[in-house]
Amino acid sequence: MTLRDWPIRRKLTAILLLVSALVLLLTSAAFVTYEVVTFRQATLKNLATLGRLIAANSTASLAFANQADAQEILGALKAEPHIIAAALYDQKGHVFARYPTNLPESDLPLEPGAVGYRFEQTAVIGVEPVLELGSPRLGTLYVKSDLTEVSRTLRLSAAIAAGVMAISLLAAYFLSRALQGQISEPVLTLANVAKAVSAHQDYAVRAPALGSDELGTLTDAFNHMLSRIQEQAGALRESKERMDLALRASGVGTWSWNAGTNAIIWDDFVHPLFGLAPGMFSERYDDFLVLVHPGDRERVRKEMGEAVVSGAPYRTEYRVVWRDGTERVLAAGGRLHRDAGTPTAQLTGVCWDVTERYRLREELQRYATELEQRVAERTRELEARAEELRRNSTALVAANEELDAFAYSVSHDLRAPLRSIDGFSQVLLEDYGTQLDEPGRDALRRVRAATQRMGMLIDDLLKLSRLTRGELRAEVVDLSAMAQSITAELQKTAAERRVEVTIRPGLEAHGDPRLLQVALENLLGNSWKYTAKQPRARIEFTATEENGSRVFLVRDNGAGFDMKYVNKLFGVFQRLHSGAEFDGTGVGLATVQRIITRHGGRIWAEGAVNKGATFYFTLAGHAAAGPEAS
Amino acid sequence: MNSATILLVEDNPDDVALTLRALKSHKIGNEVVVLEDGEQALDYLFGSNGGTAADDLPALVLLDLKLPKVTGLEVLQHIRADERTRVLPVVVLTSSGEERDVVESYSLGANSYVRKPVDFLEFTEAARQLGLYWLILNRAPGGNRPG
Repeated sequence: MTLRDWPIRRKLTAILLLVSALVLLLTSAAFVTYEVVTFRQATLKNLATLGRLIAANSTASLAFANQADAQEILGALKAEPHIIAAALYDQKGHVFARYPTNLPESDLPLEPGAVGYRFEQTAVIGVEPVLELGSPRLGTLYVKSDLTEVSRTLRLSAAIAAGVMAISLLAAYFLSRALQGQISEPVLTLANVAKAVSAHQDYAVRAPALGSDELGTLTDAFNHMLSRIQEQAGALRESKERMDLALRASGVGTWSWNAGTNAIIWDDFVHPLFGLAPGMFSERYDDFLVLVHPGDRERVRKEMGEAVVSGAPYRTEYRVVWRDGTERVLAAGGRLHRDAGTPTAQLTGVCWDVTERYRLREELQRYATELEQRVAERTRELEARAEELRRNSTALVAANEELDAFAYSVSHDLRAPLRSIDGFSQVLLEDYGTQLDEPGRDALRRVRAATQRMGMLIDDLLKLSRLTRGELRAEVVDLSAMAQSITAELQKTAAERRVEVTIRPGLEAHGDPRLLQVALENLLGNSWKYTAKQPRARIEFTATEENGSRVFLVRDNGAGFDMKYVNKLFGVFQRLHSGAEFDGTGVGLATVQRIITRHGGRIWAEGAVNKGATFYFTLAGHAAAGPEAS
Repeated sequence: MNSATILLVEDNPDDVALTLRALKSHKIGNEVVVLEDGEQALDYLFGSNGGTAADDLPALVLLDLKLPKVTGLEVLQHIRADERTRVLPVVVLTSSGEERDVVESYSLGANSYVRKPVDFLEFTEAARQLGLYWLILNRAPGGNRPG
């Protein structure tokens, strides 16, 4: 473990100890040095004092060359155990006395040397002149002290220094241990929190706040950062959840293709689109292309390549073939991402299944085609039918023209001979009546009556045929007013008749006034005719409502008819009464029916013999309404 | 009564006979010129077919519509188109009761339209009224007034 990797706790301790040790070492060195220097000075001083004392004491012995005295004086040095050698030199420089007395000559220098006290290698040497005031130098004292004292002192100092150092370091160690927590604890806490956050992705934890120093600021900043991360992580998670939800719901998968490594990453939603279970895709681009329908493969490769080169949005649709042979259609879209610093581009996008849409489109196309064919077919049919109708209508026009010609011809040519028959019968009656007997004249009269009746029949027939031709005009017709004028006219033709006519005023209808006039003339004329034998004749024109439509009715209390012949009422030339009883041609009701039918209406009748008849009719588009004000 | 002529254009001899009888029975003694078709009528009136026009125009023309060669309506058209005969009274006398004939006749300028009834008595009555009105009561503009 290198220093960098040490825990901060150990680092702090080490630093503290190192600094303490350095300080202590320097202090101790200074202390020891001081001790040694001081001691050496003291040693020199003591030696000098001793030397001077002995030298002073030795003057007499030297002066008097009393060797025994000199020996005795030097022998006093026994009291000083560290003096290992001493000698007195005479004026001539010969050893006069020595200490210890058995000291070999070799241990003494030949000459005492320069005066003074000095340290030599293993000893302190002192040379002191022996002087007498007012007299020349008597001799020289040589003293030699060993250094045991010095080294003892040195050892003691060193021991003391070492002891102090040891105790100080120990104290420093324990002190640092006690105090380093102030710094290391918050840092460690932060570190632990950070570790917990990254380990559990739990952005809810917070480092405990500690003071307001830099560490406190750091903790606050860290906590703030955590809250921001927590918020963003929450937002990110939420948006991812939403996206996942959306993707899952819509069956959209996301993918990305790294053009550099040629790797394709699919999410779990893409796999089923290719008929694969999640994780079953090799994530190789080439394997992806294999899954694409051979017919679309080259195109997809080209499109994706172009998207990477151009950076334009990628959007395409292609078929894929599943392992089981199922063919699906996918839509894919993506965008190019080029991360700063990375040379390779990454195409990222989505894809989803559009098979149903495709099938629907195809189905629609098929339907459209089918429809077109059907329309074309129907058009051909219609054209054929139209052509047929045109032919028919041409034929109809031709038939109508023929009918017209026929009617015209009837009108002219059929009546002309009748006129001749009638005319010449009359001529016979007028000019030759006298030559005929009564039966003869009667016969001629019958000829004339029949002729005239035939004329009437022809006229009625012509009228009837005319009704089927010509345009139908439609306007508002006041039927009440029409009925009023018709009955007034009828009254004029038979002034002697007393008929109670009741007409509901304000009955209006949409229709052709000319034809409706004919219809009403016939209906009211019939009523007028068939009530002729009724002393209290009553004729009524009114309307009722039936199933929401207006029903007009003409009612009388005349001769009526037997309901079992009701179906014959409206037939041409059908008559329920003999000509002797009531004259008529039997065309009237047929005419009325044709008019009502042409108006899109309906006519029917009720009646009983001698109890009168009621004719009901409707006209198309005639919804019931309240009685209009007249 | 007077000598003004009546021009009767009628192809049916029965009708001619009956018409003449009807006129006569009401003492309408005018000379009646009878022509059998439209072409003859145009010849008579305008001398258009090589012939020469009559010096005196008839007082009244009784014109059948259904005529051989040239129809009554065409004759009427010519009569109204010519300045000389523009105001000549023309009564259409025909079997047809067809409305289009009536309308066309009047729009081409017929003075009257009479449908020949089957009943001869009715016919003579119509002839009487025609004669009375057109030959006696009516005064045509211009020089050819009936007399």
